Amino acid sequence: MKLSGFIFMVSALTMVGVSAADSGKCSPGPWGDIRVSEIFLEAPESLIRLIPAPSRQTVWRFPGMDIEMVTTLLNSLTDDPVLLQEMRREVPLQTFEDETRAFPSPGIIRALPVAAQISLYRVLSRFEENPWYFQPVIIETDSVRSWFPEGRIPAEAISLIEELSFPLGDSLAFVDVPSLLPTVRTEREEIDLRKALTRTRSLLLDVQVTPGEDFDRLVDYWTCSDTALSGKPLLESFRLLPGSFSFNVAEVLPPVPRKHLNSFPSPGEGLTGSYPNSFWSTLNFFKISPDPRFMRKLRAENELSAHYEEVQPPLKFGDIVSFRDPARNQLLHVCSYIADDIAYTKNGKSVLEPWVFMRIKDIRSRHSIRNDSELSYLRRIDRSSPDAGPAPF
Amino acid sequence: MRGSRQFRTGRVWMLLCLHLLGCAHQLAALERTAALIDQPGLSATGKTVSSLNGGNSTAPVVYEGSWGKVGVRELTLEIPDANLAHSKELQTWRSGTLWEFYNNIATVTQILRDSGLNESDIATLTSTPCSEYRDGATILRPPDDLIIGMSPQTRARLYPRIGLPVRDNKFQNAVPFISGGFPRLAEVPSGLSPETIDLICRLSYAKRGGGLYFSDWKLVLSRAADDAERLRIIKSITREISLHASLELSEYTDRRAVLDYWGAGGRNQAGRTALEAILENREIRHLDLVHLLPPVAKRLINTYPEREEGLGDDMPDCFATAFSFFSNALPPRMLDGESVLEIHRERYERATAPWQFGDVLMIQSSQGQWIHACNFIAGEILFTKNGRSNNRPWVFQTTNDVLSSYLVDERIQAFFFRLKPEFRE
Repeated sequence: MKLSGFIFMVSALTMVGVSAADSGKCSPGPWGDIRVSEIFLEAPESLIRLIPAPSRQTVWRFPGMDIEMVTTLLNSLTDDPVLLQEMRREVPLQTFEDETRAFPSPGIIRALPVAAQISLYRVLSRFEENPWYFQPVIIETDSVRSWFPEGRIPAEAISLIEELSFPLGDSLAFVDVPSLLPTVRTEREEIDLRKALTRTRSLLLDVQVTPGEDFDRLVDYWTCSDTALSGKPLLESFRLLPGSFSFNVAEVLPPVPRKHLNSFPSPGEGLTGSYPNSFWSTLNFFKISPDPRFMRKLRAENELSAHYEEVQPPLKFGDIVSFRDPARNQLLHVCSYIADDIAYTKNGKSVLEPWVFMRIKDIRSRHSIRNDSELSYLRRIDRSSPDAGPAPF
Repeated sequence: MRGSRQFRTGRVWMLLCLHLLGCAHQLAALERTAALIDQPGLSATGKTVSSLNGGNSTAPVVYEGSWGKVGVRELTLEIPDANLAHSKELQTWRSGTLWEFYNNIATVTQILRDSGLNESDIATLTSTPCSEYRDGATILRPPDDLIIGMSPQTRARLYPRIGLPVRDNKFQNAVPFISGGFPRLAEVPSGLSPETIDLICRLSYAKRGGGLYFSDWKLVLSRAADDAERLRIIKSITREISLHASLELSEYTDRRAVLDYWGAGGRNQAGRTALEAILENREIRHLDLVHLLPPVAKRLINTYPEREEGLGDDMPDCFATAFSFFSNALPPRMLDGESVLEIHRERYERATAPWQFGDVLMIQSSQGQWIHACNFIAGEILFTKNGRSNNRPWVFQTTNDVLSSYLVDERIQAFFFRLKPEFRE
């Protein structure tokens, strides 16, 4: 909370419908009357134990930067001669052929002023070698205490997260995990802490159907006009039910997202060398058997270029929401549109990132940590249509 | 149909075979199941809650136990139009009903007589223009009236002897109906005329165990007004009953017990992760069971097989599904029939009550052949893939409905199996 002036604020998402986050309902639309419930997923302990325990020493890694470049960067962080002197004493540097590493003390991390932290995080978050900076712990609320259930992690840890986290859109981001670890005393507490840090909000979506509702419209929406057929027999069976009823959107998803929704990758899913990422999850949304090649970003970009076209809202079930870094003209993330302002997403390839339903503005926040991202919407080209336009890229 | 003699016969035979299990706890559970055939209002705890009556009820049946409270409403699934595009029934009905016997005319005459046809009908069938001998086969073209006039008992004796034992032979591989037969499937509006429904009922027959079957596709389809009605007939006959199941939560729910049950001792990690998150939100009172299933079942429930999921013409069947219940994906090896039974022998042991989430219920014919496998979910709910056809979906059904679909002879036996401890991690 210390970095209240943090500049990576994300503008409110207005293009795909008004968020109804607080009402517990989606805006009305062809998707029907959807009630929204929030849940908070945490990675299972078995997955946490797969990840080597991190050191309690914070390491800042600067790949491709020599010691002079890093020293210059650190010197530029502050004009305060006392702090600079402390930094020289408490931030030892280590050089490698193609990288420089810094080992700041907890005191220095806490002493850095807001502007200095912003400058430093901007550099560190560019490199995957700094996993916590590259993909921070996201707390999707402005209250750290309400995010973590009472008693789950030590009060000292909560206080430290409050002190060191910074705003990211409507959320908070936290990157100093190593400095948090000394707040726990036993292995059990540490596992609980690391588990709690994987906490991710997902949404349960229940479609409420009342007698007399235009069920054809609902079926058309959730089958994407008869192109996503696996859920159709179930939808049609609901038509035959008397009275009011509800169904969960998970039940009518195509097979691949249905299998993965609200779960973390299994260890076996990483056997190909990488765990499923956003490209894999989105481009396999309508497939019966997932195509492993979509884990590769280049392959995914080629697929998008060849078979998808840009569209404007209103969006359809399964359309692709794409996030680009406009400064670098780089595709950052893709996810699948579900309804209202909600998408199905896998935020990053980490085994500790689950597949979830998330509001698009929250997804955008996560992928705007380095620069504000630009949204666009893509739809698979129906090659049989005479209106099939040119490829978007 | 539920009160018919055929149906009661099936129940008696099943009770008989269940007495042969010789395993008191197992007997207790399945005997109760058998008794439920005509008492659908009983829950697993013996409380009458409400009835499962063909989807006409708005109130769910509730099963209560260590799994919590699971409410179910009956659903009626129909084959998607895409699957019907390749329907052999739609392509072949014009040829009319043919009975092919790979025997000479004298033997065929004896078969007809043994089946219970009267001498007048036999004379009609074995003379021109109804009879023809070609390429080593005696081919009979029975008149519609003769087929319709046959008793169910005659049909049951005759049809298993028609043709060769191949998958496409609709006489030897008849469509099995769920308990209650076609009247139950047609309770939910089917778009069929009362006459067509009556005709299908008249052509239904019971096998020795009492299970109800249907074979006379060509006759029924030839009497339809148009292709639209033919589609409705196929969709209605092949309807599959499923259950829309949900976990009902309240402030009184023992959340630790519920978590332990659905977590299945660590084997259902994905379901447990979701449930942990859901139980934290005390405002959620109603949770579709799909969220609690392990990955394979979660992906498959209430869907029809896609050709892409098969190995050539071999589609995932009941065994592949049941023995992959806790897997992250359906292993291709599971499409090799023999491999599945090897896995069963090596990795599974007889289970003891109370049944646990994912336990495998296997049904054995009187010849000792395993004819079906499915998984225990909770209460009377099983996760099942009935048959290998891609026209049959993965569904939740009651124990009673699954057992009644496999009453193929006098003595079927049913056993619960569970992974041996060394394979549970």
